Amino acid sequence: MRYREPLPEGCPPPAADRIDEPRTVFRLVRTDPPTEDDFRSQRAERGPDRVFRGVDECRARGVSVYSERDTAEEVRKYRSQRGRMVCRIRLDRGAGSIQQTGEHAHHHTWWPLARFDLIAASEVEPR
Amino acid sequence: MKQIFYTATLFYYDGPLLFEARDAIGGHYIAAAVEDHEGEARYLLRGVAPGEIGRLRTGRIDLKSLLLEAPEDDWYLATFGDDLEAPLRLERHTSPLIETDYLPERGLLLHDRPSDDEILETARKENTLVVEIRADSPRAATEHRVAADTLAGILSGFQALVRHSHRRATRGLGSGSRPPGSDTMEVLVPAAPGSFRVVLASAHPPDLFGDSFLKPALKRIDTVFEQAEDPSGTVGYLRENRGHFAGATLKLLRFLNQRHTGLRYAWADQNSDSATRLGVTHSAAARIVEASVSSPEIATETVALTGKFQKFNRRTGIWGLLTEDGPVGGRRRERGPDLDGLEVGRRYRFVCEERIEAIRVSGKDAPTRYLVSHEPAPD
Repeated sequence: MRYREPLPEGCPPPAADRIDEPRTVFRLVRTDPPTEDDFRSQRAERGPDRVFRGVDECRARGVSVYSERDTAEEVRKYRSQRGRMVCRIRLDRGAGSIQQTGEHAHHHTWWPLARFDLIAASEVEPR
Repeated sequence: MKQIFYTATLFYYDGPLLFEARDAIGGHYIAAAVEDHEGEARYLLRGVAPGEIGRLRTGRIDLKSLLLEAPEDDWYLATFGDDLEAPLRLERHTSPLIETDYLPERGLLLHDRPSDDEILETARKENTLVVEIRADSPRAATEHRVAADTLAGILSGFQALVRHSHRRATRGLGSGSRPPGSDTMEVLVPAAPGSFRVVLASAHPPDLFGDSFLKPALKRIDTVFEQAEDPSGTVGYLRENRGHFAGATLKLLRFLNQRHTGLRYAWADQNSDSATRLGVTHSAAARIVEASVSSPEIATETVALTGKFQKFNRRTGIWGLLTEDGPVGGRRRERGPDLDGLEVGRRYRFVCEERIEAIRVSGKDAPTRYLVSHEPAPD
């Protein structure tokens, strides 16, 4: 089982769920339609030498998604996320692993599998 | 220039979008992501009163208002330093913040709505797991009083239950799942005026995933009290979870029974949407204690200890082993395995049955241990 990005030993963590059933998550993207660049992890985005506060390497190599659209809408209020669009992603068997992480109950970290076609599964939501 | 250090993430999305920071003299700051600058996230950082961060956490103020109401005129653009211990890199500004393009939109809250649940609000404000315990004593109903030792006994019994539930929940997991102090709770509100409630907070900050180390422990305790009205179901669950966790549960229930007192508790952590509220009445506690009488083995845990054999006293049956965690001792039962022939200073693996029947003044458990079997262990 190969993930989209190389992951450290023990990642995803045992507490993460392997995605076996359909579920919908939301993520902010820059363009409509979204591109592969919209699904890069912090590690891929910031380079190999960057140190990250408050997260381990495993989480830095996953991508943030929300289980509720409204929460993704809220994130757009941050200045750094201005202009981004809410994208609905339909996950199904083979999409990878996911775990609720962080301070917000709706926030999840998703570790996509390499073979999962995340562009085909994604659709920007109308405003 | 001030030195300001990252302390905790308040909101995360592909990296911290909002975090707290402190300076060398304890001043509080809040930083919100504004843009990417030369491949790094850049933040608007401003000093705030500590209580204001609590208001943000509990949804009483939005982020934009908090940033604009800051007591000082200056603000900073900040980026992270090159290593985890380094202070933030700061660029100081004094122009009116409201005239810049760095502010978030109005209405950005850390939670969807203010909480009207006191325990949930406390958990969010303290940014950790919080438990409220109430003694449900018949005396309290008539006299608005409760014996101090009853409240103290419940508190101590509940603390022990949390500790053993935590150990049970993390059994077999790596040491990262139970850093020192992660099984401990501290008293946050010692005795709220006009009530018989004590509020405890997790003594250890949440893990890297934002979860309290005690959350699995509390969920396990919930499983006991969810079925408190079904004594045989409760005892069945305790039998499945035989050992110190089950022993601590029965000890607390016996105490409640002796004191004719019920217990109610509520808990939430900073991520909870609602608080969990459970408890047990005095009569339900009595029925569970009664149903457990025929299963004395519930409180016994099988443990394996490896270390250098130190001593054995034939007269008293007391033996000693020097393990990596220090010296431990126990007893040999009358028809237990023979210790004659064991060499002092050689390593052995002792399998024992352990019960916790007393707690030392220090608060640590004083287990009683009986040897079941032993075998040589590799050096």
